[in-house]
Amino acid sequence: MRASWHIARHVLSGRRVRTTLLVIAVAMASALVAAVATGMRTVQGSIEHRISRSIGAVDARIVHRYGSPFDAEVVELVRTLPGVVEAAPRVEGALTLARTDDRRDEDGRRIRLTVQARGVETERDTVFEQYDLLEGRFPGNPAEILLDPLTSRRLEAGVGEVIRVERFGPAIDLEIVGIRDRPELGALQKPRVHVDRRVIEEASGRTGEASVVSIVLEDGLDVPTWVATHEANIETPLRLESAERARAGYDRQVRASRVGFRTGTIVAFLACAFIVAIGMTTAIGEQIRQLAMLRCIGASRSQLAGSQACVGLAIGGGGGLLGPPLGVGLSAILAWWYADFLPGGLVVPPEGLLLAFLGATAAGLLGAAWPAWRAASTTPLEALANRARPVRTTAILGCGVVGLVLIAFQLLLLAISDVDLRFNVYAFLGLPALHVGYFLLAVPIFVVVSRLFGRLLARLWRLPPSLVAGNLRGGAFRLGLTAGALMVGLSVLVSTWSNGLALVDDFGERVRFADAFVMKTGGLGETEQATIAALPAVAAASPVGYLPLRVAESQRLGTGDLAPPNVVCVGFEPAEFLEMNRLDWIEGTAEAAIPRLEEGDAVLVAKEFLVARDLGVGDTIALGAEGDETTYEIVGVVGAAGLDMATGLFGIRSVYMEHAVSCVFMDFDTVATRYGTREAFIMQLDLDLPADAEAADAAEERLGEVLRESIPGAIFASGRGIKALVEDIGARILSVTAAVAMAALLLACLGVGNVVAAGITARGFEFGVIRAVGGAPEVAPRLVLAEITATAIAAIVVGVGLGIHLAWMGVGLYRDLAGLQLALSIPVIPTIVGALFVLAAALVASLPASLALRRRSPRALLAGGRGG
Amino acid sequence: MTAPEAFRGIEIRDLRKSYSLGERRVEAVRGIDLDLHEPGLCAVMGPSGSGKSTLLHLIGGLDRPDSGTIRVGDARIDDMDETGLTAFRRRGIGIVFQQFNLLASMSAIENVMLPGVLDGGHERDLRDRAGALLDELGLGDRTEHRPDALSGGEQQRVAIARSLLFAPPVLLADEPTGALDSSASDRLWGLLDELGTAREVLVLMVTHEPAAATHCRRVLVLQDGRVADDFQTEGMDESELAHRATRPVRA
Ligand SMILES: Nc1ncnc2c1ncn2[C@@H]1O[C@H](COP(=O)(O)OP(=O)(O)O)[C@@H](O)[C@H]1O
Ligand SMILES: [Mg+2]
Repeated sequence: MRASWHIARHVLSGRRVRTTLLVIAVAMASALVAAVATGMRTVQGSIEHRISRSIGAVDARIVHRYGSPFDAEVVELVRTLPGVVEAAPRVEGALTLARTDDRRDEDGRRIRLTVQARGVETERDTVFEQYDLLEGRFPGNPAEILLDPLTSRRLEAGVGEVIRVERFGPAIDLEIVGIRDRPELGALQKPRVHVDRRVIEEASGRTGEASVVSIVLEDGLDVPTWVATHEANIETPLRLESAERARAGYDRQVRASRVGFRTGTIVAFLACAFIVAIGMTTAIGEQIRQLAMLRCIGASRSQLAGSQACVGLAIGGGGGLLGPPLGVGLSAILAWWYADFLPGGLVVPPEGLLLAFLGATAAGLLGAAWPAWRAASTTPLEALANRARPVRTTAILGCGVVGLVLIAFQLLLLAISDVDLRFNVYAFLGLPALHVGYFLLAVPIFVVVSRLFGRLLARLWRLPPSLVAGNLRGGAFRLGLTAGALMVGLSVLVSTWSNGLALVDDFGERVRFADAFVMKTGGLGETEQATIAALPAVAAASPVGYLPLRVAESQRLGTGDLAPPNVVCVGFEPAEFLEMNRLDWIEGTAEAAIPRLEEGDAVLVAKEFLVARDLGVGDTIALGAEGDETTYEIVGVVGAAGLDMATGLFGIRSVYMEHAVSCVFMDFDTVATRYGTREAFIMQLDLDLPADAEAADAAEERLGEVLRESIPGAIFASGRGIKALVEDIGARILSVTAAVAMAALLLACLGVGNVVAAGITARGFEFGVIRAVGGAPEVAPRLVLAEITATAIAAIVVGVGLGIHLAWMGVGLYRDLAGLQLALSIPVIPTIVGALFVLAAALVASLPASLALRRRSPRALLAGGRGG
Repeated sequence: MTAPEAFRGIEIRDLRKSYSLGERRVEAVRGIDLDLHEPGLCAVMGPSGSGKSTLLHLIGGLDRPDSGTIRVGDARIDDMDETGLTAFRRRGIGIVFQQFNLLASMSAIENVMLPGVLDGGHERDLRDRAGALLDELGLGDRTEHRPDALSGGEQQRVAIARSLLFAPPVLLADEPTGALDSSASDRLWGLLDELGTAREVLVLMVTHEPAAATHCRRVLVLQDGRVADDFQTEGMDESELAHRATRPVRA
């Protein structure tokens, strides 16, 4: 071992420049893993944070079928169910809050406000903490209260002040301990506060009641499945349902972001391994000769292996130690830069750092082992012989064939039917096979590229074409594999960007609903509907009617007295409605359903309907007055996640959704012809607003005013606020993902750049010969640059190929593991920018080393280059 | 370790070695018998491709024969296993090449010490021995120089010093002067002969320069993988030697 280390030390110190460049290369590669792991984990953390803050951390809940309060005892049962992390009863109630002092408003009245209060068990509520706070903290006991900005503004009260709950009997004084962050969404929004349950119980005089039991489940549980499994445990009239987060599919988004983290880290790990291995084998011929000479003077195989292990450990381990802090540092800078975007803050995953270190070290060892193995497995003599072996076409073809076989192997692995097994096999077998496959494919592709571009490159770098062609031919393997290492940055960029983009599109698509809503108690008549449609800035208006209908006696049998005898018939214009809203089709399809709806003998039902009455597509339902019933066929079961969210946030969910259990959706015209009403309960509007946010706000404001003037009593509510909220989350995800991808590209290019530079310093002899036979000083550097250009072009070709392949695999992964249907879209501009960046980075990285060639004399090049 | 008093030189019987180059078989050595028992410089000459290097490589344990036996000193190396060969290369023989001789990252003295380091020897001991050897070869003031700061002749002398570290009975040199000018070559040949006699080492040197013959005790001429001529130089003058060493031999 001592001898091994002795040799290793000299190998390392003998070529200080090269050793340094390699350590830097390894550090960059390992930083890449750390940065991608940390970056992705941070994005993931923030996605989870944002989703739980804006949509709620609650996975499921228990409610009363018809919205009445119920006995909170049920929570004990829920807590015994498997998979439940926490369950807590919440009670909703109205509280009248007033200032304790005598302050009056403009009209001289005492300042007081009726608010919607949520009562929680303050001691055990941390799991549910679902709001961001503007200031202060959550209530910790029954003497404290948390306000929303609306309440705070109306009461002119802030943190530290005391407000009074007015009721019959002695008033309750509460200290304001915090203000939550809550988007202000316009006129329909009700002020909300957050108190201990006991406050509401005391104010209302009723104890032991719950309006809802909120449930948080273990990470990774599929909420709808869990609900389906356990809903039988909950007795009617209570009902177990999944919360918006699961209903809108945001729990899947959370899972998807975890898939992204895992695959991203593995891909970065592989990229690191390639860069390091390529670095360690630069100037392999020279390394083998050196090792062979040692064999001739009596070094044993184990000593060679040992010495190379030491070299690998020193370079790989050294770089592996330097890299992670660098990567985390880079991520920290990004996190700081995007601090507003990343409410979850920087999250450093220890497994990512370990992988970064191990990846670099293991790849260093492997990369060093290769020349040692070559030197030890051939006779010393063969290794010593300086026969320049021409690159054989069969070897290049063989390389390509093996590459294609590996890629095909990866595709074959997709045939595994078990989803989890498929993911694990993909991560640990498929991804490596895929990367090695493209890596090997880089060699024939490099050859093709040099054939195609050889002349052009010669002209570009003002070199004799034959010299360039010969050099590229001779370097097919060396340069081809370098292209293989260079490709990884680009493939990471293309694939993460593409999947990120698709994820964000999906994110936004989930909440597609109208830009604005108009409502009026008592309904909007036909002329009013026309007025609304004709208002300036209204691009489209779609009426939604609301008509109670009786369900035929015969159909109530079976479900007995549990299901109400009436249903609400929601009339809507299918085509227009679908333009504005996204419906999730649980059963049936839009294409099949719309014509049937327009024919007038079919309805859609909400998915709650399916659950409550056990009726689905193909079943019929008879509706109408006694003796005058019409039978409708159910042609679709739908959910509208976006609408759920919008109505929930507006506080009109009670009207819109809580009756979903008894809603059927019918064509608007059918309602008119069958039941003689064209009245709309709500109008959904698509607006034509200026792009500028402030101008748009002003335009909406004006629209609201015009509306109130032309239709007295109409209420205007904008959906833009919520949409902007969601779009904002999407934009954050995308921009941070893009930054991580760019950082990955940067690190990969820097890493390979150093490898390239190390390779050039090792080839002094070759350039010495060129100089010796009369080449001008600038020929060598130009030749290097021509080589690098060809290498970078090949890297771009394989990198984009691999990137698209990875993105495509990503679509499958997100489908399998997160149930998301993403589109495969290739981000053209980022890809082009990334490609140019690869080219520029490779050239810049090789510049110092090639210019150094220029300065050295031919004699120095010849003397230093090859001997040892 | 081989004791000098038990010097037995090289003994080769019916040695054969062929290489396959694709379809073609090249018989590099085709039945050589040799007995070399006297210390001192012995030249192996012959046209290019006649099997000189191959013969040397087989004797040095760098390559394995197809058949035949090789004894070097008291070791029988043709059927030795890899571990035995490694030890043999380290201590049983010294080898000097035309090029690729020294590790560029090590100073002269470190290069000389290297086999000892590989052997697990004590650094200080080794340094003393290596210093003495370099002194003996006239490089006492060059010990800390790196190879790139030494002339070709000096580099070869460092390589020779390194091959003598374990005082092997046999030293092999394949065209050691191939990269040197004539005066440096001349000095190196003289040195090898002196070393041979003084240290009782058989120095087997491949060369294609007839001038080398004047420093040698014995000359072997190979042709087509066989020994075509084998003579003692004593009593021959320079032109006679050159003539005999280079004339075409009839089969
Ligand atoms: N590793 C090898 N593979 C194939 N042929 C070889 C190898 N080494 C030597 N030869 C062939 O064996 C013959 C003898 O070579 P060599 O011993 O090197 O000749 P010399 O040193 O006398 O010039 C030559 O024809 C040479 O081409
Ligand atoms: Mg030869």
